[in-house]
Amino acid sequence: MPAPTTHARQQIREALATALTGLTTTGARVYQSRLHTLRDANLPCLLVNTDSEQVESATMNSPALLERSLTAVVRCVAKAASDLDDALDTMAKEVETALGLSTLSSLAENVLLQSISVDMDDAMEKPVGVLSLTYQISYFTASNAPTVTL
Amino acid sequence: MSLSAADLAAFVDEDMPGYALATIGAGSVAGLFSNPSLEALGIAGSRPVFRALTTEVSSVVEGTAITINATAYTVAGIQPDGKGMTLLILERT
Repeated sequence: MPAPTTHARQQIREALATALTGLTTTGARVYQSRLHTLRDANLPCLLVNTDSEQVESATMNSPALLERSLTAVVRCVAKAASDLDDALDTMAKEVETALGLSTLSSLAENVLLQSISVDMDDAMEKPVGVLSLTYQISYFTASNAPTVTL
Repeated sequence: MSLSAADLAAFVDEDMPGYALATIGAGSVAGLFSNPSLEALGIAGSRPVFRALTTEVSSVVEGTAITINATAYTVAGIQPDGKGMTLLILERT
């Protein structure tokens, strides 16, 4: 199998999106690093972002073994006239179930849910809400090969 | 200066932009409807509101069903201006 050419962060983000595609509530509406405004046709949906990353050297030699902890956020987004909180919690259940035992096709050592936060807004024709699940994803690479997870 | 009933009625004349008849219960109420685009939490939507004479919507409470231009809404907020007009904040059902 040829070595991957994209950064492991990108591989992990894409693996997250793949693992989250086809869930009962959101189906194929899974968007990576989306910046554009969401419209009704996009909802309910999941937004997948890879954010900051902590990197520590696990060895003294060169190239060093890097232990990396990536923060990834999965946002469950919904608009509903009623029971918006229930809709968001249902989406969270589906996401947690999908990622609970995942190693993202062996890219990650582990995928741990770290926190959940919720924002709601009732300024529009229907209330909208975003439930954010923040995951810490641990993986290793060599310092000179960020495309290959170890 | 307070406005007379005739003055207030002129605000909901059918020549006014946004003029609409709202169905509330078995009756209809004339008023001004607007639904400007809005965005919240990165999601596009709109903000439907209906302005009518306070005397015409005095029985409306939060949750009252209201139909405007064949679209069903419920009243999510009631904001009387103290001068004879009331703004109804609408939520699409």
